[in-house]
Amino acid sequence: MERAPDEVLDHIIDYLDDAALLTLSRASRQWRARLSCRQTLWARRFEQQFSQRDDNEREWLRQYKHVHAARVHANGVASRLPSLCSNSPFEWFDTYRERCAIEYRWRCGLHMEHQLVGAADARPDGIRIQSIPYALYRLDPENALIASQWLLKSQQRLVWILERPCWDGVDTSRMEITREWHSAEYLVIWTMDRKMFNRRSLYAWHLDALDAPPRTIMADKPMIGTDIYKNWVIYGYMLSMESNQYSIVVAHLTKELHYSDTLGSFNNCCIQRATADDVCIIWVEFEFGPSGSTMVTYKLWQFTSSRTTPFQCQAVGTTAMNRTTIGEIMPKRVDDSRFIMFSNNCGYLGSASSPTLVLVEVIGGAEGVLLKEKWSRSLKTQKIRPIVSRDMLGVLQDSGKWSLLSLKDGCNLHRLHLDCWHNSGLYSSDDQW
Amino acid sequence: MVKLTSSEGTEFDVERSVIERSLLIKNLLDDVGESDTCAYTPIPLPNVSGPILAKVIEYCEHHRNDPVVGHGDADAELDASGARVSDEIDEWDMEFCKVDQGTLFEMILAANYLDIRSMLDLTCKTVANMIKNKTPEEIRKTFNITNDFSPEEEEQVQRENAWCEDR
Repeated sequence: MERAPDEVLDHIIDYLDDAALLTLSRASRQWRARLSCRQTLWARRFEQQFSQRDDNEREWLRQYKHVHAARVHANGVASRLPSLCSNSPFEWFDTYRERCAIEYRWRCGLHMEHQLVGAADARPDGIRIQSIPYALYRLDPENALIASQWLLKSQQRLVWILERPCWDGVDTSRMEITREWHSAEYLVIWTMDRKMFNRRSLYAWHLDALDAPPRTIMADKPMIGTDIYKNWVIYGYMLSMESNQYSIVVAHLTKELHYSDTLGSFNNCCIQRATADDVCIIWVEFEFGPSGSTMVTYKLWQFTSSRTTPFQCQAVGTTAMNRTTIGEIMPKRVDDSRFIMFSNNCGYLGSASSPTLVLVEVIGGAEGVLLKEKWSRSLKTQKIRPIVSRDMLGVLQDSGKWSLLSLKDGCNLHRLHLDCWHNSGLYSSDDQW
Repeated sequence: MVKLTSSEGTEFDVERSVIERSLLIKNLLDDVGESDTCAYTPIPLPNVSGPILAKVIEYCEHHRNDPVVGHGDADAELDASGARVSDEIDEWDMEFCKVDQGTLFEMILAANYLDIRSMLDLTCKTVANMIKNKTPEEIRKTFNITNDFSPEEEEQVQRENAWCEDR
């Protein structure tokens, strides 16, 4: 078989699953070299298993490349750290194996725990590789911490260091943390007043400058909802209690851009998709009232800063959804062509037959944008988490248990045994659930 | 009828419709045209030995009425990891591939050279099935591969692939 030319080997490889391919790669050095150098093969299998349409998978790959480049640098293999976007020495074979292995290790509890104590006094001198913020719900802002992996200038190795974001210029005494977002570059913390719940603020730091005071995106406003995606920040706030008027604000973390407009009433918003120049926003509007069926209006707005009227409403839809007295209807991005609205049922859900989950497809065409409801379900829902690469939607139900639905049609994935994750080390494809 | 000559010079007479499963020969005949004078000129196949050419003709005879499988895998059935499904082989094909390993590889090379897509698929599937569900040691034994990893390297690759061993 060693004599088989590459084009013939390609045909044989097409019939081999990953387990067989990797076992073959362990037979000898020559086989390992012959299989591992097939960049297209491994890139294709990576995309098949870990689709880059999935925001989380895209983020994993970005970070992997960054850490990988730093390791190569620290080991002295490369003389300088390759830039993020360059196609630095990068092996799809290793990437694929590492992505599979990571999932396996987590499922089997084979991860390592690092205990970090004592935050650094000064900003470390080197290159920050990755960051994990610790800024939990209801935490005192001064106690927020960020664990970052650094490639220090003084020692050519990777180290984890704890840092505190600088709060200079912000009175944190009456604040607590509501939520945190972070990207490769930025950390955004949403706070609220301990006494006056509708006084909310948003602060942003560049992760490389946590020792500098934050940029205040919004301070002490009765904010009704916020979302962050690809360095775009959106939030809505109430202009006055009496007028029932709301303002929507769009800001960008890297550009000096802060635009607001009053465009009627809405209750919640999310970013559906974004490019460098524009952002599409979904907002939903519904009536507060007794539990039961409520009419929900959802709109797709496109914001383009260069246009004379930056906000343009592109499509509108209405649907009936089931809501509890204090619950809300929240929109959430699934991927570039889909979003989902869910009723976060706190408390008793009435007997109304209308759904609590509605998946909407955004269809763009020559004649404009169309919003099309694909499926709906009635489930007690606290939280949702789209897993686009597996075409699944994780739903945290009242019981505190996650169940998985198909993103295609909303059906429960019945044959799911949570143990299979532990046993297989990989997600199974749809038909194996 | 078409005359073929193997690498040793052995001549084989085959019906044109049968051997036209080979796209190489089909294109060759199409280029030459229908003229009778050319039909009896032997086509030399210096890359294919007599016993292998006999197998090729046996395959084409048996599958003479099958629809021709073209290039492009648009409709190929894929499994979870993106590999093509290899467990559906009919009985005649299975028997046809029960040959020693050297012959099987010669058959793959011939199918590849003569451009007989369905035979290439079948023989590659057969080799793939010989690799599947085996340990590295069993693969080495099957294909007579020498293990040239140092013990340290061997341990490292084993560790790297733990996730896949456990399935």
